[in-house]
Amino acid sequence: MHSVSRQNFKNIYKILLLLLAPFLLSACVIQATPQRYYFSEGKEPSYFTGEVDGLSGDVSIKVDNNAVLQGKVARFSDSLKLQGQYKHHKLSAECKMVYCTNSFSCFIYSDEQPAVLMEFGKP
Amino acid sequence: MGKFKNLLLLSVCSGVLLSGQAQAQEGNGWTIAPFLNDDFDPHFTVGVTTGSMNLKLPGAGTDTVNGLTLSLNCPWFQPPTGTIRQVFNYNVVDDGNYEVRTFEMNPRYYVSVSPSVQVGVGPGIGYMWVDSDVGNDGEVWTFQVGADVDYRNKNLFLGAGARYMITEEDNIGLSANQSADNWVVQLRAGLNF
Repeated sequence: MHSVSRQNFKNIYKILLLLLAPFLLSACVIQATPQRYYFSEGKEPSYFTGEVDGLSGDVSIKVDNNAVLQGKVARFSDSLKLQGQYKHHKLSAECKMVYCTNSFSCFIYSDEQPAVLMEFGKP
Repeated sequence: MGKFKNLLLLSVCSGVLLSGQAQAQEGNGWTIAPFLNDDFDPHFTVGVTTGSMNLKLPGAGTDTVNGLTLSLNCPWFQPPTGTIRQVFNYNVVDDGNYEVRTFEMNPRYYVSVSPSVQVGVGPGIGYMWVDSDVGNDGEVWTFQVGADVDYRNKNLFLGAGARYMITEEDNIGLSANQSADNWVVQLRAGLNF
């Protein structure tokens, strides 16, 4: 009886890990909370959305559904700089690992002024 | 016993040197005692583990090892790049002849491979309890070295790791002055907070 329950205990662990393993395949892409930004006063806001592939390091940041900033974090690198253009505005992003929260953040500048902070994977 | 003392001494000296290096480098990106900062958050991770332990005791073999893991951002110092996390592991294995439990403190220095994947290496110390069905029980201090690969995505934590542990010698089983060195290869799953 004792050995049966011990065997069940071992099996529960294996089943738990097998159930969680598919998350590794399905949850690779991390999306940031969309952010609103006003390029000009009195005009409609623009919406920044972004996603990072946690395994490959592909980064894509869109403004109003237009891919503006794209790049790939090199292996064993913890930062990335991106540049792009949107409606005559020069956009740039400084992305880096934030180890204290185990997340990845992109500081986005519009015409060299701080605009939006996008955080990926923060618990 | 000699090799254990030497490795423990090496571990302590490494820690002292690293700590001294950290203090010397404060201002160059090192953070000393980050727990004193108002914004310090340990970002705990808790999880379950399962794997295989190869126990080098007479009559012992390789068997399933299960356990628990808890980790947090190191409160003592943080390097300018990468991060140090304090990892605690509790493992239990029972191969029929021996029931072995270990409690381990394994600090790891992690670097990022990709935004969600980090690799970490480091030494550790711990304590082992051996309940033997074939002789004497024993309790010994341990020293271990290991490497981990962690996948973190918001609250999801998955990991794998391997470590080699050497132990003090004690009268364990039917042998006098017997160490209980062992290998462990593990998978981990849990939650980030």
